[in-house]
Amino acid sequence: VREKGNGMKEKTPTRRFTRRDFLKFGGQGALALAAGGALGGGLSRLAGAQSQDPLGVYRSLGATDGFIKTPDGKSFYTFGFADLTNVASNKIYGLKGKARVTAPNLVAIEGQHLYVKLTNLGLVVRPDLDDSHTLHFHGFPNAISLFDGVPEQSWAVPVNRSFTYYYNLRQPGTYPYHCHFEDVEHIQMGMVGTIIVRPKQGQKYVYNDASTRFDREFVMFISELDAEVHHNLETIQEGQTDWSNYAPDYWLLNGRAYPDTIKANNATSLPYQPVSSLIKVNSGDRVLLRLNNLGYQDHSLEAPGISFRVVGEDARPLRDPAGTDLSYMTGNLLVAPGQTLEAIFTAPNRTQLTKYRLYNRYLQQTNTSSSGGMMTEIWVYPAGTLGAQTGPNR
Amino acid sequence: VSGKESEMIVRTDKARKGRILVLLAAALLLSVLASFGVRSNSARADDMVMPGMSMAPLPAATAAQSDSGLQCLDGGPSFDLWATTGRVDTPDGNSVPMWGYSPNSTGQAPTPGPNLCVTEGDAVSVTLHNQLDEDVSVVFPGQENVLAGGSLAQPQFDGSGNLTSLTNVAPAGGGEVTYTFTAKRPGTYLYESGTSPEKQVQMGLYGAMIVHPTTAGQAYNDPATAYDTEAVMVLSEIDPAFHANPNGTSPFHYEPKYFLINGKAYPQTDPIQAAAGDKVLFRYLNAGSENHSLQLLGMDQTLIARDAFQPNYPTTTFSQMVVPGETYDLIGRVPDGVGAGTKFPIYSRDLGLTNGATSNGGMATFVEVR
Repeated sequence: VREKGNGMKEKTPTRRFTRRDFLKFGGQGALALAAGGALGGGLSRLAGAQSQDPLGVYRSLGATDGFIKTPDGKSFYTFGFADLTNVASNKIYGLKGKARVTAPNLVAIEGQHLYVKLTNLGLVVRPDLDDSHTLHFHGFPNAISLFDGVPEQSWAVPVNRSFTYYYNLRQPGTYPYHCHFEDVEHIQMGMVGTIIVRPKQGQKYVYNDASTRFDREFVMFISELDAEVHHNLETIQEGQTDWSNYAPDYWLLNGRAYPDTIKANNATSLPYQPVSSLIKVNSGDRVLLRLNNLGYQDHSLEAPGISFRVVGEDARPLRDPAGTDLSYMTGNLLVAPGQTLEAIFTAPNRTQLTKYRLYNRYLQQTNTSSSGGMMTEIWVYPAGTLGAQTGPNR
Repeated sequence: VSGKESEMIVRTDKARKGRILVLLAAALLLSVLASFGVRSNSARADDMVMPGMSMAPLPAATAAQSDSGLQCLDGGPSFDLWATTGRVDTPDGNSVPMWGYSPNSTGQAPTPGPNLCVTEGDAVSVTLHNQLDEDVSVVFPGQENVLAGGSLAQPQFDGSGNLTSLTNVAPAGGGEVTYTFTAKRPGTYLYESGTSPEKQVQMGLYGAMIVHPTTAGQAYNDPATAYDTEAVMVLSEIDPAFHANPNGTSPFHYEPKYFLINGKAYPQTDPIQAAAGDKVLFRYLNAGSENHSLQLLGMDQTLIARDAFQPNYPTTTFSQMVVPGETYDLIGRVPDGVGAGTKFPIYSRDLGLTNGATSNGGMATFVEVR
């Protein structure tokens, strides 16, 4: 027993074999197997072949830590992914400690092959915590364990190692991706993102279905932040976290709380929360919201004055095998944890800029008078004001 | 427990509640069902009905008679509401301070606000008079082109650009604002405060607006939505710690202790009166901030609309989750041939069935055959 500065006594923790240890063992064991085994040989061939794949889409992510900000001026320790795509290999460690929340959107087309190289850069604030990381593409059909990132049945990427995840993209839709190593903790800490798989029908369709055409699209990544969890990890107290006491303090869209949600993309005041949730549209536009809830609570978004047609759930179009239209109209978009949902609304006709609010109707998670709210704005401009959209959330 | 025993009516009085408790302990399922054992509000009768294991209709018991027909605020489609204070007296003896929309300038605000009933196509006008110490407003989710004072209703900001309200306000200290819009689509809608809603809606500033189609006796312009009786059920919760100090308590870490239907907790809730064979239209509205799964024993309920949009394919269920801010219209049919006084429990299966620390309360009522 040792005395802490505040006079409280603290037991020296008894060392026991934790889930974390198990995962570490599994990850490194599998990597060792890969290095020496036939499986590894196959992988090497895959890795060598990738740059020649004409259908390949190549992205590179770095797993590390960082800090994000809330509108009340606070700052929270996070884990996350930095975008290493197009970063020279001798520069990637310059992004250590610069994780962004949320991770970059990964956008590809049905039929393409997605290669995502994950490099574990390690943690700046917690060099003692040598957790491995993985990428799990939640909801991908026919995933094989090797590339599915579930550490209990695959390998994980130890610090200073890389692994390339590969997928043959068969099913259009919106998918969450996240680290699956010590998953409850790493997801809460910010190792989360969105994959958009576009249909062959065209860039401006959600599915291979003419009724899912849209003019503009916005990813609404939904999550919560429990300050205690983040504090515990920053201060080497993660063993004290009791997940049954989960009680978030902030509710986030694309990693930001209102009014930060409406700040521009790449706002300088939010260097590691680059994604704006401001929905800027022309009158009459068909606007697609891709809702992706990787929080641990239900959330329901509404915008008085606007109704939505839900056209897809969990990356599946709302049609039955006979083609029957199962889409539905609603005023509230309920998204369960782990669920994605695609909803289209038609922007009202306005002759001058008109603003609507999109907010969480679980009102204790929306707070208009101080920080913490899951809320954003929809700005409807007169027809023809905005040019074509250059990418999601732009 | 045999069927005969289970349907036995146990006569008791308050001093003999222990006997009831023993029975409750006998079977967990029984205990859940027993939370609906009817205890009349009247001083005369303390009859306790022990419902059976079966889902069969419950036998009659003495019950408080109450009018469950649709009560609408007079004057539609032009309404006046006064934002003022009120109280909810809960069955466990608590009296919780509320804010609410009152139908007159002199009384206490009821919880919820009065039903605003209009007909499809009506030009609706709602004038809000503010008797509270802070700005208040009304938002009408599901309505388009809502005007405030003749111009498009718009969010309000303070001088620094901080959002202060989702829509135009009736300013504190006697201010007023008139909202107008055309009720384009039939259906069930919430109206609620758009000003610090995380505080003001929680404090009780909410109510139901019903838009009837031009065809009487139908919920929508669709014969499949015909009904005999309609019941508006506004669901909400109260966190009394928040109500005691609404301006000094964080709305986060919300811990409701009371679970209400139309502002009342069982056994104060009003039963829904219907005849055998009636189609009952349940209009569920969740003005609270937690999910509630409404379970109906003894009949099915068919979902005919969500947020006033009819689904392509109605689904039939015995539990309907009602999400905050949403409205759901379901039709259930009372079985033929059931006798007067037969009860069909309808209750929150998320077990919001307590009043503070007191059991056998909360979000529960009955369909009662007349």
